[in-house]
Order: sequence, then C-alpha cells, then structure tokens
Amino acid sequence: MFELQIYFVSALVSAAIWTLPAAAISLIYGVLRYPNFAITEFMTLGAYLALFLCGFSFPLWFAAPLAAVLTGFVALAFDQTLFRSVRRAGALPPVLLSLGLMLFLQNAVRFLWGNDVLQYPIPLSRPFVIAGFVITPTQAIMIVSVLVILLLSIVGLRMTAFGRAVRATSTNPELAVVTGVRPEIVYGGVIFISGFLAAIGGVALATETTLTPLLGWRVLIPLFAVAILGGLGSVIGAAYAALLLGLVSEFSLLVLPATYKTALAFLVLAAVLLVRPTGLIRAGD
Amino acid sequence: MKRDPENRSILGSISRRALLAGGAGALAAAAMPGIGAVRADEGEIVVGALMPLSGAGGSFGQEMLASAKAALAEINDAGGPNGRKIKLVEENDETSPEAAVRGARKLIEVDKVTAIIGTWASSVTLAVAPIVQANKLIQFSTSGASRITEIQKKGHLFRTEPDDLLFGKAYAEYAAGQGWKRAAVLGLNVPFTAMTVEAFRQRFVERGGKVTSFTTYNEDQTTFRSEVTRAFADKPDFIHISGYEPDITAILKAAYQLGLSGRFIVPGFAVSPDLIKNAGPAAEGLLLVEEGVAEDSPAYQRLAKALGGGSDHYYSFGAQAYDQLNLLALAIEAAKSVDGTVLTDAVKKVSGPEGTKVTSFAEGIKVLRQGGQVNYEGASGSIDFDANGNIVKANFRVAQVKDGKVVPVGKITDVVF
Repeated sequence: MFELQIYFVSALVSAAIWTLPAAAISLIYGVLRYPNFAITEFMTLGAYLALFLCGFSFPLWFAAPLAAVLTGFVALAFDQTLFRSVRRAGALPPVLLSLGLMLFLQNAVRFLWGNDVLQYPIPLSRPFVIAGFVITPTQAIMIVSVLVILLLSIVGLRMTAFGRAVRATSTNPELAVVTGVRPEIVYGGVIFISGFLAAIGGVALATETTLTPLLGWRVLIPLFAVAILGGLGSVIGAAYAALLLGLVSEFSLLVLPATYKTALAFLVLAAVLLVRPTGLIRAGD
Repeated sequence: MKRDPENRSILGSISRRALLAGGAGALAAAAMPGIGAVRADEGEIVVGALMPLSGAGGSFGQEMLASAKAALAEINDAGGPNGRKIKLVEENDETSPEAAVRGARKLIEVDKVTAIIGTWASSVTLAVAPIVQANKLIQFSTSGASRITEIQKKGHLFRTEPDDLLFGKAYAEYAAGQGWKRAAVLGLNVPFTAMTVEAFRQRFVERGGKVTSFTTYNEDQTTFRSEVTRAFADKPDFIHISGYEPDITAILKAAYQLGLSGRFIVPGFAVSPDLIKNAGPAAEGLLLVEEGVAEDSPAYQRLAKALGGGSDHYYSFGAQAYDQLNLLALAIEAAKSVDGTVLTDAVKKVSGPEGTKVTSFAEGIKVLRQGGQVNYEGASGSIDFDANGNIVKANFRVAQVKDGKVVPVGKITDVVF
C-alpha cells in the first residue's frame, strides 16, 4: 500500500471534479454579480443528459460534451427568460431565482429519471499502478479532460475578443459599456459557458460516485468554498483553490478523522481569507 | 366543542359565521373517536394497511399487502376474533411521511380503523405514530431506526423488524462465527451508523474481535479512495460499511478501482438489484445481512404457499406483515376488546414467550377459548415483544453476491440486545 500516493491521486480527482463547476460559479459572480446556486443542479442535469445520450449508444467521451452543450443552452434559456427580467433589480432577486431554479431542476430530474441510483455504461476497470500512484483509466481520462477544458477556458478568456469583453465587464462594467462591450452578449455567453462547465463537472462526479438526483446538491458547499477561496470571479483561482482544498482534505486523513474533511475545507477558507481577503487570485484573471 | 341544543332554536337570530362555527363543531364532535360510539362491539373490525405501495419501498409494499391478505383470509376463515370478521383497508404511504400522514388520517377518521399495520420506512413510522397514539389505537411497523424506541415508550406501537442495534450485533455474531478477528468499519456520518457501529463494536469485542479502524465519511464527498485506503491499511479480515445505497456503491467501486480486494459486509436494506448492476464486478463477493424469516416454521411455509413463489423467493417484510395481522387478531381475541390501550398489553401477552406455542390464528383461538395463554411463533421469527414493543431476539440471513446474483450463505439466529 502506498498511502501517500493514493491520497495525492484522490486529491487530484477531487480537484478535477470541483474545478469546472466552481469556475462556473466564479465566472457568473464576476460578471453578473450574484452567486448562482443553480450551478449544482446544472451539474446534475448535465450528468443525466449524458446518460440519456449514452442511451443512443454514444460513447461517454462523446455524450458528455454534447450533454454539456445542451445544458449550456438550458442555462441560457433560463437566463434569457427569468433572470434577464431582474437584471437591474440588484443582487437579491437573481439569488432567490437561482435557489428556486435549483429546486425546480432537482425535481425535474427526479420526475424525468426517477430516484434510482444509476450508472454510466462504462465498465469498471482495475487501476494502473505507476510508482505507487494508483489510477484507473477513467480517472486519468477525467483529469486530463478537465485540464484541457480548463486550459481552453483560460486561453479563451485571455486571447479572444469575447474573453476580453468578459474580463472587462468583470473588472469595471461601466467602463466596459463605454468602450463598446455589449453586456447582454457577455452575460449570455458567460451563462452558456457556465452551464457547459457545470455539466462536465457533473459527469466527472457521476463517474467517480453514482448518478442520483442529489448528485450536484451534495457538493454545493465544497463548491462555494472553492469558488470563494479562489477569489470569486477568477477561473484559474478556482483551479488553484480546488487543488489546495483537495490536497488539504485528503491528507488531513493522516491526522484527523474523515468526519472533519468538510469542516477543514472551511478552516482553510477562513485562514486564506484572513491573509488574502480577496481570495487566492484577483477577479478577472 | 359541546353545543347546547337550545341554540339550534334561535338559529335565525345569530350570524351565519356563528352558524358555520357551530356546524363545524358538531362535525368535529362526530369525528372524534369514541364520542360517536360508531366503533361498537359488533360488526367488522376495520384494520388499515398503510404500506409503501410506491416509492423506495414499492416492491416491499406490494409483497406486504399480499402477505397481509393471506393472513386476513386465514383469520376470517377461522371466524375472526370474537366471532367478528376483519376488514382490511389499504392505503399507499408512497414511502413518504407526508403521504403517510394523509393516509393515516383518512384511515382513522373515515374508515374508523382499530389498528394500522405495515408502516415500513422509519420516517413514515415516526410521522404516523403520534397520530395513532393520540387516537389510542394500535400500530405495527417494520422500521429499524433505534430512535423509534423512544416513541414506543408511550405504547400503542410495535415493531416486528429488528432494531438497528440488533443489526450491529448480528454483523459481530456472524464475523465471530466465521473466526474473523479484525474488522475495519466505514460509516456514513449520520446518527444511525454511530449507534449501529457502537453496538457492533461492543459485541465484536465481547466475542474476542478487534476493530482496527472506524472511518466516517460524508455523503458530499467527491471520492472515497482515501477512506477505503484507510480501512484496508490495517489488513482487516473484513470491512463493514454502514451506509446507504449510493455511498456503498461508490465505496465498492473505489476499492475495485484501487485494485483492492476484501470482504465487505453491508446491511441488506442498502442493497437493491441496482447496486449489484451498478457496481458490477466490484460487488462480487459482497456479504449482505438482512432481517431473517423462520423458513422452517409452519407459518412461513403457509405464507410462501399462499404467495405462490418458488423456494428462491424470500419474503422478509411479507412475513412481518403476515405476523402483524395475526398478532393483532389474537390480541383482540384474548382481550375481548378493540380498545388500543387494552390491546397494547394484549399484543405483548400473545407474542410470548409464555404460553402455548401457536403458529396461526386458528390454533390460537382454540387455546384462548379454552382459557389458555398463547405464544405466537410467526413466519418472521418467534416475535416476543419487550416492554417497549421491540422484538427481543431476531433472526438474520446472510447472503452473498455471486455472479451478479444474491445467494444465501448463512443464518444468524436469536440475536439479542
């Protein structure tokens, strides 16, 4: 048994699952200025849509991004109908709307797919062991996919015109409008991308655990911890924060009972915020 | 609530609101159990079957209803308690406390039942019990949660399912019987596991075993790799997982994906065919401990025959529902009353352990009518109730997943608190 290496890989798996949905929370907060609690349910919806597509004998690697695109459109549809009408009403109405949407989506999933525990049609595989690092092919593919999507998001935010508009809106909305950025396009784009990222996170979580209607709901608290720790508004910050929290909570098992894993995440959050009140990374990066 | 009859004559002079209030009061008075004296000592005795005919317990509920009907046929064929037939009114609790409370109120207020049998989920039993107790009726349940015992102290509630604590002891008895000395425990961080695991640890240590680690986990975890590693670290003879289906599935997968193999013992109620399908090769060899039945008893054999299944069928909750109705009917016969408070004592008395052993209602009334005392030995076990209305000793069955099928591999009999 190579305990330390196992904890390290577990931390990577946790971080890979948390990163994208936390980045979605961060992006929405940075641009639209409200915490969107429905993100976890977009994870659940995306995971179930991927299962639905697998039913047409698509392989999961193809079904997952397709489901993520669909989830992005669903998120966009809710944004353009519900959230758009309260755009100018301050931060509270969209927060309440997102809570309502969270409950609605969770129960819609229950209605459509039932309460049973489900699973993707991928065979369970025995792991590789490389220098004591135990990892299964599914986990390796998951970590690499998340890394690729993360890199694409970061590059997209830095290099493209849309990315610049997003960062401009995030740093100074009024100035962005003055310089010709059309805010509704930025909002719509960010919501679509957030839905996409959440869905990928949902599929990743479902491959590692099981698919139930409570899939996303269960990670709501760690996700917000990651997003806040990363400095709300920063994608790369969410990735660092996910890795930090993953490492701390897994290695904590050496000294603390697992019961305190979630509590420890908050301790780290508090400690970091004491030193760096804006989180690990400044918003907009 | 009480209205003076003279008021009726001056109705014309009072407001419509007062009229409504008066009418509602009169209705409520009529609905109050006892006052109407509708539930007289003649005619049919109405019993409510409040069962999970849909939802998480759906498959069990159907089996329980069929089993209760089998008992009903036997009881009515024998003439019924005190010569009165029993009428069974079914209600679906949807495995949900809200639906169960609606169902219980309907059974009590509309159907005027004497007793409610068959509440399956612990949340349902906990929600329905206060209503039954307030109306001084009788309730039988198949729920395992230990905190129900507190509610039972007020009487009127019996459980034919072994308490969760007995499950904990059963794991220990089985492991000790197999000669396994070292146990690791993985437990979901909820109250029920803390109690079961403590009961397990206590009995396992008494039997000379050692718990090498007790790792708790939260259901919000993204991966269970580290917890599984922790549990395997001390090379235990077996690992007991105390949790529910989603997390047990994830843990089995995590162990498989870490390349680890070991013996896992889990509660039978957490394992559905879905788990075996979802965990696939990771579920191979999994040991399940579930509430047992008295397979060799005449009562169980009659029930199995009535339900028409082959020998591979295993009617654990059905056997309990069958026994619940038989116990109730015997208690009514013995007490010569349908009063809930009188019945609370009578049910304990007919359950044994003192008295002549009987395995059916027909045998029971013969003994009772000759002035004797009966000890009902049912399809689910010997069912002797303690002062709280819990069974004092329970039988369990151990089964194992082999090639994706659940195969019985052993029995644990007479597990006590």
